[in-house]
Amino acid sequence: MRAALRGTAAMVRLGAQSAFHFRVNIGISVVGACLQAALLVVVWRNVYANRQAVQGVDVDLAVQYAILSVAVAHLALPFRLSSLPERVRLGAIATDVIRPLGVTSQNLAHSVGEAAAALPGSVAALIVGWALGGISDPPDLWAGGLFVLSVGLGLLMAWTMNLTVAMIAFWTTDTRGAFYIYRTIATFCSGAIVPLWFMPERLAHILNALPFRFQVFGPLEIWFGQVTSDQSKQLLIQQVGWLALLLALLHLVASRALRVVVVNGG
Amino acid sequence: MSMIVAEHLVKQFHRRASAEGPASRFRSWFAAREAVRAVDDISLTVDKGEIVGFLGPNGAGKSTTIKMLTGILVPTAGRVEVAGIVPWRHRRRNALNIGVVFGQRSQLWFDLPLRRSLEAIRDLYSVSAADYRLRMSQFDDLLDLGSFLDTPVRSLSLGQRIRGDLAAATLYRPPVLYLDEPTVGLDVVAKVALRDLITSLNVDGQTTVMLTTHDMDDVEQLCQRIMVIDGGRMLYEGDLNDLKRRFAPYRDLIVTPRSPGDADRIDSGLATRVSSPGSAKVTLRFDPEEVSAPEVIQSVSSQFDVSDLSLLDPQLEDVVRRLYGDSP
Repeated sequence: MRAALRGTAAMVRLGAQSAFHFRVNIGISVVGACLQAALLVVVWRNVYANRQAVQGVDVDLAVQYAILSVAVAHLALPFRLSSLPERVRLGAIATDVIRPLGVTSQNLAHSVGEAAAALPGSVAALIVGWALGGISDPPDLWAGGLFVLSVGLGLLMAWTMNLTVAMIAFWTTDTRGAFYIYRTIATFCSGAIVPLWFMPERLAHILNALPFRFQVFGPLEIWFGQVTSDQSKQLLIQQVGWLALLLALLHLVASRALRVVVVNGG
Repeated sequence: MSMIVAEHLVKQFHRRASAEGPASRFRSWFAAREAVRAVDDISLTVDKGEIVGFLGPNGAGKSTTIKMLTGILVPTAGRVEVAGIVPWRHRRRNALNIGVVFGQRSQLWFDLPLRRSLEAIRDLYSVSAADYRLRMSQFDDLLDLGSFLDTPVRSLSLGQRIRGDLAAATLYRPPVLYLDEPTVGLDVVAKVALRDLITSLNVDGQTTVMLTTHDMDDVEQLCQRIMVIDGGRMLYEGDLNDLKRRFAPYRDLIVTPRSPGDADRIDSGLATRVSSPGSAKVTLRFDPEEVSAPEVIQSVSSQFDVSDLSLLDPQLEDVVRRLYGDSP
């Protein structure tokens, strides 16, 4: 157990070191997150120009939601969802398979490390958002704590799903199409662009049954006090349940993938 | 004690058959998949502390076999055990017992300095700080690692990269080491450094080594036993000298006559002349099972005034080429 933790920590460190190695990339990610936050603030203000509220949501809440969702989604859905497809395509997966830490653990830990490089972008988006419209505090300290916990669980869910989709690389060489569809679905269904409050009822029912809402929308509901303390706890339990299910799915896919692994390049 | 055991190992891949004729590209999408056997019924055993050369022409199935022995690939059929563990079934446990160097690909993290990769390997394999310091110092002595430890892996020369990979594969002192064409593209200095480290690991730590290479100098200098495969099947398994005896049962006597005019006349009667007419040196080939070297030398020197004589054993490269040529 101790050895596994030490190995996992090494992979997290490597992920962060690899990501921080590309300083220009981090700069671009900061600019991208700031632009996205600023544009969403402008668009939402324009949407609310002649309205007090839409679906019971006022302009301040919509703007603040937009800013926080950019910050969270930037971590959940980074530029590169996983380095696994590239490693499979180049045959480097051969060396991953023969390490004393499982391929899924290695890659999940690497994703956690890589997410550290997305932090400057998230922080910059929050600063821009704060400068443009301000961000309110959560209802109380308890809600703030639950929000942090919920964001953590949401991110773990997102990285697990990203890696599961990346496993497609074991069956098909070019994963760009699959990633494009997944990113579109995940961005929309998690509420990263449009809050789920604004979804038509039937669509909202479907989205509520999917795990994506727990990555962005769920934690933000806690921050904005849209759910009671009991509902917040229930939300966290649902996140834990989904996370366990997603991890089981990832292990199932990985075990199938590692039986058909082909090492490209001889 | 057997360290590596493989019995009737088979690996079959499936690929889509290529279509021919009109709209062949389109039709090939729907073509049936055909089975290709990369390894076909290979059985082998390697004892603890042995260095075994695993040879074969390109596409013979060497790397596929190594990948099954390391647990990367799951065999289609057959049984593999390495240090008592089925590699593909217990990959994590097996990983602690094996080190692998692929000449064609690296296990190091491409964008980071070499030091970062070795630190990660240290933590992945739970190497203590004291052992890490000691082994890094040994690597520095044997592989001159210190001079490029802080260089990003992508900026290393091929020789430096392979030395880095060898350090990564042996940092945790695995009892079994697989080297898949580790000297490909290396200069003489790098090859010598690599061979020295392999020898030291084998002698000091009883490390079992399985070496795949096209460099016959590697084989002659390192291997106690060789296995030759082609077409996924074992062609030969045994002693190096026995291989030479079976596939090149001759020795060459190179004779330089004092008078150049004698060159075209030299013939011992006991050996076959294989050099072309007009050359200053004469090569006489004989079967050591039938006639001894002193007899051939005596025969030549009694008839001609000779300025120099030398005996050559067949080159392993020629032997292996002959072996590959004989395979179906």
